Amino acid sequence: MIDEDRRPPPAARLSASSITVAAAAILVTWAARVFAGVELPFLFCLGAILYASLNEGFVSGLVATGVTLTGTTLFASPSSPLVTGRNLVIVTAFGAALSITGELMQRARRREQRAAAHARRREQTLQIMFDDSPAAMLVVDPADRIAAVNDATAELFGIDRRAFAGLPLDLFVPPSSRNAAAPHRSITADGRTLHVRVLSKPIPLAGRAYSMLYLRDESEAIKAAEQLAETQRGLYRIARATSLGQLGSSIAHELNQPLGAIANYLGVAQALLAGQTPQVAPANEALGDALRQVFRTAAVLRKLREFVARRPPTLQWLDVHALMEDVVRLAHLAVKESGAQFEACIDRGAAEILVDAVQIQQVLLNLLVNAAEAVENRPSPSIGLRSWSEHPDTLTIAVEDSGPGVPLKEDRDLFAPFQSTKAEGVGIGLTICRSIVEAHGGRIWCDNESTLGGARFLLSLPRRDA
Amino acid sequence: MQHELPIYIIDDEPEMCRSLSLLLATSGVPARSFGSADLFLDTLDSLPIGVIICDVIMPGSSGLALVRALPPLDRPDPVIVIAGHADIPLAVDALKAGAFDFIEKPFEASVIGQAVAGAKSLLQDRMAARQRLDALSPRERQVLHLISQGATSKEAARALGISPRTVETYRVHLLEKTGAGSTAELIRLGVELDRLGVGSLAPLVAHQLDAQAVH
Repeated sequence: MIDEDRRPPPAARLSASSITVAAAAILVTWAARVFAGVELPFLFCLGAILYASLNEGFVSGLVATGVTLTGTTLFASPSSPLVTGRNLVIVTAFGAALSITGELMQRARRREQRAAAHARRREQTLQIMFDDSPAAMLVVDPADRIAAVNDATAELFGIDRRAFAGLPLDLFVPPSSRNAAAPHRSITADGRTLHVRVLSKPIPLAGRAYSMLYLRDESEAIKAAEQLAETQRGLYRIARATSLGQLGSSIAHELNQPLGAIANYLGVAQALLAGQTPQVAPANEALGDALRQVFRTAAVLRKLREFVARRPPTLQWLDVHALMEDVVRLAHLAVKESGAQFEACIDRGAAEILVDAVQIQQVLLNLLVNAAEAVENRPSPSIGLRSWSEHPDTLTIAVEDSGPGVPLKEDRDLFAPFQSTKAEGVGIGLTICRSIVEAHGGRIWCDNESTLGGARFLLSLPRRDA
Repeated sequence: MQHELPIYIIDDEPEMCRSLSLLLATSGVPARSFGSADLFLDTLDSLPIGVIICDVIMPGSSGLALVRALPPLDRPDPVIVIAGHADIPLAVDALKAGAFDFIEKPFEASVIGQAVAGAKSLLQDRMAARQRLDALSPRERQVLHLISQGATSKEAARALGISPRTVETYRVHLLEKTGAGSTAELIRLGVELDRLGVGSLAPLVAHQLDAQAVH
């Protein structure tokens, strides 16, 4: 294709073949006169001119005209009565006309060739673009059957490209997903889950309403978003485990207390049964006491396990009192070691809040642990947990302390990550608190308006009357 | 000194108090329970000297605060600290504060039994030592104090403004009066004297000053 373009135009060309044909025409004219005694002075000349002009255009035709007429006049048929000045002029004019015609025909043929080459090139380019496009594309006929797909589509669905032809489009994407806002979820033949967004454009082909579908594979983005959410849940879980870790000694205390009692009761039973006269009834009683303590220990452990268990977050309408009782129990753990006075004041109205119980406990535990740290080594330490509802549809919970308070600055976001004021703090506790509360459709903020004199952290949550 | 010494259990956890007193009762040691250190300290004046088993973390005064509170109140009761969670700093604090023993919950019956027995014998030693010390005159106590501090007769004499010979005489007297079999035992008594603390030594110093003023 490209070589054709680069050829010199035929008008400027003069090949040996034209000269040879012209010479041959002279020779044949001469041979006809010498051997057959026939005078045909211009016939073969015209043939040669026609050949030259059709093949190589105007210049070649004129050269052939000049060569053949000169040869005829001087050598091949000088004595023919037809070779007259007038005839020579006529034949020359005719030769020139033939040359022009040949040139024009040649040009027309070249144009046609060029157009054909161009069309071929375009078609190839389009085919390559369609075939090799990284975007998955399908051509669908008016009856929603697949006319053609590209390699990307075949790869996306994991099916051989030739197998698509003629299949109904529904097998891959439902008509409703065309130009839909949300990506369509489909399962491939090899069991992968795809999330594809389908864009459809009408393309009239041969007067029929074909359409071109573009499939955008959003599986990766959706997978990334899911992974992010999973990572975030993992982070929350680690944070819960960390806050339990901060309560480590309190928890050990909480567990060792009943374990200690169990060991004692069992020791009593052992002593009662080991004597010369085993005292079965009191020993049995001691065993019963031990058993009750075993269940108490198990209950403590279960609560702790629930708190750090890997579980999907679930928002539920939960009774405020039951929830706050659990929080108060956790709070005692958090506050006990600081030696602070703990005071809980819970709104008595029957209400429910829309929460994930564990996550809200996590937030409050985090705030309580912070409060316990804030009041450490301060005179008459005290910590308060209060809840009230200013509106029928919001519950406010406050954790306050008698510590030094939190420095509140306009330009500093207390809840931004890595902003810890503690020596060993990472600074993600409050960040996690905020993201949890906001995921609940709530709000968390801080002021230093505690009645206890220190910091006060407040969170508001959606509430309804029970 | 063979009469039964009382045992006091102090723990905010009722189950702990109950199970431990049952356990001690089975080995023939009756005990009395208190829900907090403050409650115990409030009734301390009416309680005879005994062995105290005390939790660490409680509402109000902690177990360690109780251990520290006893000597100024002139109570020789040994304290066995039982902790819900034991770490080394806490154990060190407890023993530095003057606790007799430090035991982590849960514990075996034999462990608490041995601790109680050990505490009892210590208490008996202390009470015997006190009895012997009570018989000493202030000057004798001063000499005993100096000797147990490692002072030679000469040094003691210089410190008290008396002759070394007199100090020697006191030393012999002390051995006789306390019934100590050796100087080593005498020194132990001196240590016990020091343990009784400022409360016991302050009047001695005052007495000495008075004596100097008279002369």
